Amino acid sequence: MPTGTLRFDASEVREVLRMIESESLDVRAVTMGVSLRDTASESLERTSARIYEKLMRVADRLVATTAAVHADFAVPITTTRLSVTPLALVTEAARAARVVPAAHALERAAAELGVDYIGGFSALVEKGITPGDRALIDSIPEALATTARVCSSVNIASTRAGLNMDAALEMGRVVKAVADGTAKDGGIGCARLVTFANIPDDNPFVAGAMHGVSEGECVINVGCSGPGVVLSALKRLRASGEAHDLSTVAETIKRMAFKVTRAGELIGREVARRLGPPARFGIVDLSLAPTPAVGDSVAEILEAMGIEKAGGPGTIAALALLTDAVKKGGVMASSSVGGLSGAFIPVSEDAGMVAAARAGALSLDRLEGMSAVCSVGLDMVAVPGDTTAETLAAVIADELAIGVFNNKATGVRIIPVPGKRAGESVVYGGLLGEAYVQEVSRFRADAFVRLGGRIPAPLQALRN
Amino acid sequence: MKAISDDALRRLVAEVTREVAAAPAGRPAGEDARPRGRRAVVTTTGKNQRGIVAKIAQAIADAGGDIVDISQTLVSDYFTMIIVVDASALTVSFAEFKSRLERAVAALGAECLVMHEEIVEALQRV
Repeated sequence: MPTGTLRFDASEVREVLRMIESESLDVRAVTMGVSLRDTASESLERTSARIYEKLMRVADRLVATTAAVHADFAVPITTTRLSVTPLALVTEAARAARVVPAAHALERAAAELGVDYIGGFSALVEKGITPGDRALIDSIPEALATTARVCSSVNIASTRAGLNMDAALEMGRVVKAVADGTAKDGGIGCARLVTFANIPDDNPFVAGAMHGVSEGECVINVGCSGPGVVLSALKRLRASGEAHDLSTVAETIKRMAFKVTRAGELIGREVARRLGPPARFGIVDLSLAPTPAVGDSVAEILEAMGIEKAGGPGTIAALALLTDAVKKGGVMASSSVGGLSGAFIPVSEDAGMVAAARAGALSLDRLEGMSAVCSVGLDMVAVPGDTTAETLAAVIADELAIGVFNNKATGVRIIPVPGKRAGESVVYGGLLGEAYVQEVSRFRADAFVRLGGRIPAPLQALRN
Repeated sequence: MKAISDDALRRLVAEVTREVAAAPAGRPAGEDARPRGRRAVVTTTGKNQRGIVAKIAQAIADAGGDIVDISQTLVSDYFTMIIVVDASALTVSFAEFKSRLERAVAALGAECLVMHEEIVEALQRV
């Protein structure tokens, strides 16, 4: 006999239902990080075979488990991913000049496991490039042209080490080569390549996901998607007629971020629990990650706060408020916060950002400014196909300097779209959305970039 | 459409569940994937309320679920019903339980979402 002892009142349950069904609450990514350190060998062929075998063994129940957890908890899980040890560390011992077969092993395993992306085709070269790093970087264009799931990242700077400008020029060239190698798809290979400063070891989002050496054997990291939920809460606040100011706005965002983060943590812990050792729960990344879906946009949140178009005046202040409120709600919700935990401004994936770019409100300069305070970099920024490698290197250096000198992670995922000019657009589809080609300054930095060497670590590094 | 009070709903459900024969003991084998906690929250939205209450209560009882509480709201012609179910003695898997409820209400033109109670707890409690 029902006794009327509901632990929640009906409005609380309805709120959860509303968040899931009409506000796009979901877990954006469940990413299993796997150590490949034990697959190293003196033969590239053997290493590649071991990589494939280990992934197939450790991750065989991953996709089925995330599907079952989705079914039990009703919160959609948009993507399931894999990340691995920065592969240059694993393939170094094989002393090969190119390591493309290792990328193919990653691709084959990801495809057979039913995972949409596998990150970690990576190298860490803040202070120097070993032969193994060189081999991996040289392999990136071919690896990305011949795979669909492999994601690559190269960390070329850190607050402790400074900024490796030789590597910056190298990455400018690699980005061009990747774009040219995938020219018939609008340079889409570049969507799977990021150049980083202060890359996190536990980022669940691609393309920068990798299983850092500090992460142990196998870990489940989660990234949530809550812009829709936050946007709806702000719209309700506005429509309520209650007096409110920016403090109220911050409080509202904080409360919603709490709920979104809790959903992510619950899902992550449950996936890890059902998989059992060696998998364990790692972190929730608090980043508010937008999708192309209507209403699931960070730009629209800024606009709901009263900014006419994302990128216009007030944007940086508003975004700083948003990012900070998300962090405060998130750390209350979970003690295991990590990854990037910043604002994502992927200019192609967020429909509001694309519209703002097209309207002329959101430029490269503006994006750089936003990343100084709150976001994690230049993400899915399309530029003209004739942008030179030197200019790309300088753009990368600018963005990474912001990270190095402010003790934060910044990354550059830039696409010089072959054959396109500023003002044109290219449709990538799916979660990648549509990119509007931005203008890049016509002034050159060739002489600066070609000086090479390292921008020394700043004083901020001396924290002892 | 007239609103039914929560008390009347509870009486209706009690009536329906009293008629259901005791389910056989035992759980399905190989259930290492069962959710940790014991309760599920079933939310149903639709038009024809009375028929759905009886049908869903029947489906829940048939699967070994025990209805802990039930409440509803009405917005014009549509109702949203929330049922908390003690799922610790389910005689089928959680996935099967969900599927049965979804099918039962779909036949009457309604929709139903079954979620583990922990998700509501995680989002709504500090």
